[in-house]
Amino acid sequence: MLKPKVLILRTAGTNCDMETEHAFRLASGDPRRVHINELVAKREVMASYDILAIPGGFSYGDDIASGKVLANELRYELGEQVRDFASCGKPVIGICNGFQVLVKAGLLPGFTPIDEELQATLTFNDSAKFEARWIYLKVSTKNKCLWTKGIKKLLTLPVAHGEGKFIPREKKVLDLLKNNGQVVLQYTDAKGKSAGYPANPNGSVESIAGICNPQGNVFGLMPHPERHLTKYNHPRWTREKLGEKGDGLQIFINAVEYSKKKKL
Amino acid sequence: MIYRIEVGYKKNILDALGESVNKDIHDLGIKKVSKVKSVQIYKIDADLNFAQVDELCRKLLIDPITQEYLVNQPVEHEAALPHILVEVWFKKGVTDAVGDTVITGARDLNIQGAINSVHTGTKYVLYGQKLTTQQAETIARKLLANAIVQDYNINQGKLA
Amino acid sequence: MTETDKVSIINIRDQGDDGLLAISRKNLLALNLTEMKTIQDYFRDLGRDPTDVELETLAQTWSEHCKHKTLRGIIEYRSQTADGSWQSETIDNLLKQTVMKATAELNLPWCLSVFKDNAGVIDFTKDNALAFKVETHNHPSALEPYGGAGTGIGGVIRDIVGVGLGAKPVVNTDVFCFGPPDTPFDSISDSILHPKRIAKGVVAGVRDYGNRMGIPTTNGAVIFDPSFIYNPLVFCGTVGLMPKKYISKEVLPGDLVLAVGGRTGRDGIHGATFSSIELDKETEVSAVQIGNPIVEKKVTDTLLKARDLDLYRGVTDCGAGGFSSAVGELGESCGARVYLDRAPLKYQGMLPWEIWISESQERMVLAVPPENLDRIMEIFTAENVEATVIGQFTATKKLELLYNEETVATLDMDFLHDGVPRYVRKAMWQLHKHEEPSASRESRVAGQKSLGKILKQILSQPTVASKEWIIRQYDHEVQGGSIIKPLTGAVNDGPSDASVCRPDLSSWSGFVVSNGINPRYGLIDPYWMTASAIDEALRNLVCVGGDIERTALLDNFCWGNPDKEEQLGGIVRAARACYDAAKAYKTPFISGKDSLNNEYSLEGRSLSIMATMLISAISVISDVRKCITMDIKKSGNLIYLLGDTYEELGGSQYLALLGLTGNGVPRVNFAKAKSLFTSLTKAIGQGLVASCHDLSEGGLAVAAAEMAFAGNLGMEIQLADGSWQIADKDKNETAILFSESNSRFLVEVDPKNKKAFEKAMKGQSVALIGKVRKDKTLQVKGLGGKVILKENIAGLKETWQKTLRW
Repeated sequence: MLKPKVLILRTAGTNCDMETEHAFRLASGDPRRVHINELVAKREVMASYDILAIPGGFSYGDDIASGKVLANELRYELGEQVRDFASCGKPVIGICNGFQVLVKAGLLPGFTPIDEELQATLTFNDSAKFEARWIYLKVSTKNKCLWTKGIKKLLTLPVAHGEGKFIPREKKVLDLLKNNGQVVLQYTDAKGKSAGYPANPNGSVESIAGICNPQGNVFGLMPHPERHLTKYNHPRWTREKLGEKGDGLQIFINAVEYSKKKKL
Repeated sequence: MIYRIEVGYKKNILDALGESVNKDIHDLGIKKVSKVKSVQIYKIDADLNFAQVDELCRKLLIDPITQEYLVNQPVEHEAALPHILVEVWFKKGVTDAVGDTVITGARDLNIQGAINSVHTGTKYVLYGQKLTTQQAETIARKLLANAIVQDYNINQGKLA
Repeated sequence: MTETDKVSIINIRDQGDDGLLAISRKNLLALNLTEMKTIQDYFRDLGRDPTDVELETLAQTWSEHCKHKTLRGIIEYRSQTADGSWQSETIDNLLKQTVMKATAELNLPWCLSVFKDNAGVIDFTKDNALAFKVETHNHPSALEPYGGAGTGIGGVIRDIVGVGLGAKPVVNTDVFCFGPPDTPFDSISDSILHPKRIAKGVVAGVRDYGNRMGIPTTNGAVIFDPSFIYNPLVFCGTVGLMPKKYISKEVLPGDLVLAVGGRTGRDGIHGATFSSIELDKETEVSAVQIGNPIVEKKVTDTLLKARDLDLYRGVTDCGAGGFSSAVGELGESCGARVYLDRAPLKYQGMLPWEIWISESQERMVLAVPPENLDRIMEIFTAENVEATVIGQFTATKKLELLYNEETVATLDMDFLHDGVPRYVRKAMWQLHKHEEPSASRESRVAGQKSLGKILKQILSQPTVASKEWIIRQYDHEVQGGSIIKPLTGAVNDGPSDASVCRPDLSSWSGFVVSNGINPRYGLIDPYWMTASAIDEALRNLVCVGGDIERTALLDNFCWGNPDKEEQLGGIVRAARACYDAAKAYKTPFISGKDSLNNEYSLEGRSLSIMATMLISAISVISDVRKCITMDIKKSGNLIYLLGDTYEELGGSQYLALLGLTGNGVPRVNFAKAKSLFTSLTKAIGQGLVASCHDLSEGGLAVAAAEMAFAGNLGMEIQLADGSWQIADKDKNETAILFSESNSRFLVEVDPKNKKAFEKAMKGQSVALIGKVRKDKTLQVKGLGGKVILKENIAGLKETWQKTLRW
């Protein structure tokens, strides 16, 4: 059977594209890194892929606000293509800067195919500085996200961002996210309990680290699953008993498996 | 036309930059500042009408959830409290990456009309009962601006 | 050549000495009289005067920054021997006689390209090589810390992107020297920035550039000392990965000169000559710039794409000297013609000489065969990278510059590159006697305070204290290859000795990067400072599982004004240590840099930095899964001390607490050290070692404390079980705990591996001196068996973390 084709979107300042490509390859996908200019020039290209990934980095330097300029390009230049891709149920993931892009482009929370009005945002960390550290994540039990299907354990992943504080527009949005099963990942301490800084590295509301759209195919998260693909990425592999597989790998496998089934 | 746009944080949102600047001011040995508010300023020289500039602000320059903006007038701050304003700008010829990105970002929005230049700066509102302009001068010189690449000006807001 | 409103002819043929020097000064050329006279002779022979473009080109190419005139010049050196008599000798090219000589004599097959390109290149895997370069960006960082440090890191990254036919940057390492963060504001001149402001600015500059480039910053060090208040040191290093087939350039006549990346502006004019001028408050500042990392990222992405399609034959970065040095280097053996008016500018109104030597950031120059031009332009255009043909390489052996069809410079390549007259400088070295602690003074510290309190004081010194506040602002995981991280242990906050990465995610091969630096030893003797720095860099690397047999070194000399005989004398001592150590350890130098004139003139006085030698090391390892960390792992495990402890407190943190330098600088027995490192490397490779940490600042006590709190376990040490090379045993439990003797490690071994470990270490200096405890205290029993230090590890850790928790 053909491997699902994964489009890894690049633009000026993208810098986690290689390891994201590697992650999908390990997950038996067929990834390709594609520059946004190519998608704009050939608009039919996007639809030929099965999975879309917007990797981490500093698109356009994150000048003005993180992810903003790339989000506008998706919204105004490729709006139709992106909307079609997401609404036909194909898996979409935004990691770190990619999450910021998905939120600012209105694809997340995605109450409508593209939210006209911003429903949530990711803004400066409470600590006012870039935070690179390994954190623990609880996968919410009732989430609908296809990317985290079957994952029950506490995840250990690194974060590395200056603007990762998740804020919903208002209480109603937060309630909706919870009731819809759209809250996917929350920062916790080592025991899986919610805790303050540095367990919650940015001050996110309700420790939210990742959300999905109501359908569960579009997923955004601040932590980097592509940086924990083997146990040798783990910060304590020299002192703890760990499985060979890194905590992030299953996320990519889930999407590839889903696409394979969908194609059948 | 030259437009001056100010972008600040809404009241209920933590101004992380302001907070960290406040901490640095205390490190300078000046204890008279109680709070700092940071405001991003864009000076845009463009052949655009007001509605177009407003669109640029909404769609590109601000985060509607955390920030508010005003064109050609200062964003609100607690003007009733004693404060001093310090504005910091890059000198001419110094790389202004954010300014360049605004031009790129505006192109994506398909706003008709040429943007000739974008200059970015930061305004700091220094609150403090007994803060003097001299102290504000020291803060500007030693912390907020580096005379090598930046200019600053100090505006007495409301003095105690 | 005629004078126009864009080009001036400078009359030098008729000038006397004073006139020549005035021209050099007025135009910030930083050329001395001999050099000006050489230029004068050249133009007298040509029968004409130079244009400003020609003079500027010569000044840039001949700058200390580009040519290392001092270290490659002639040095008349005299030194005082131990018996007080003086010896004299003449050294012809110090670098060639020491640093480079060691590499040449070792002649190791895995050194693929050394001392000729932008960076040193060593063999890595079957298909790939690694390039490594560390350099400084000191003066700009003093004036504008954020921009200075950012352009520093941007520059060294470009060196890597421009080595051979281009390497992919995979790791950054940064080392800083600052004034003490608690320096009182009113104690320093108003003309400089406060050390903490500089530190924060530098960290932010490196953070914003490195993070945006997507390069993990995995290793570094920060030293604080008052001598760096006026002249901070900012070292930026980058490792690059490249296919072996791309390690050399071959520019041919007819290739086009393609300028790629950022536009040219007035920023950074005179950067190369500026770095050789002493700072003062009037220093001209156009040399400082702010970079744009996203432009550099785009250039890197597209350039490597073009490389993989073999579309160009040469590449180098525009660093110091801008186009002048980039085109000059690429065209050195053939010749080049450049049309200055074709270079894309940030704004109009620049003069030809300004365009030619501007140091605007994020620019690269390529040599492109004409038939490949369309294809390479397609690659750059597709990702919005500006690229412009500005000239062509020729077979004329001349550098020809034109502006609007007018010739504005014609220089022979030979004269440009080899015409610089050799410096002849005097150097002198003598040993100075420093004050030793008097019994009363020492007892004031040691007597009134317990050893535990002294340990805590040392742990809280900014140089020793945790750098977590800095480290967490750097992305150390991007690219996904991080194996041993800068912070490690039970809760990821212990200080790693070195970092390990695997740059190719489909292979388990990797490399270790480490640094060694301790300028305080140089106050006593730069020879032993350098030997210690090399030993420390190697120790750090061995600690995580680096392979001493596959390790290469980089040097970075940072000194004061070399016109002062004693400054240059120190450089000679340091360079000789490089040779001796590299030969003995069989670790070749592959590249290096020097930054001289780190002085600041204040009210007529010249304030110099402590002479500082940074040694950076890189080691290739075949399987990163065999690496280990420094945090102790399990209670009941055994603790061994490897290496000999002497009463070597000179330059130590302990004497620094007393406000003293002392004389007993740590020395190195190279042969013994090499043998120990080799045995330990083997033991680690066999999986016999649970954790390993080197002894450096603060000695045994600090190393034990760090291992304990990193592992969140206690440790017990019995000094009576060790053997100490200290004459007066009674006196000196303090010396045993805080001596900074080199070539030592604390090692944790599981009891089940005891036999095998001791066998592996046979013939080495090994002492089983303690064990891991469950109770979370650090306990030291003295020579008489009594407990002389007992501290709980949480308290030690808090002390160590608090200082730099900004």
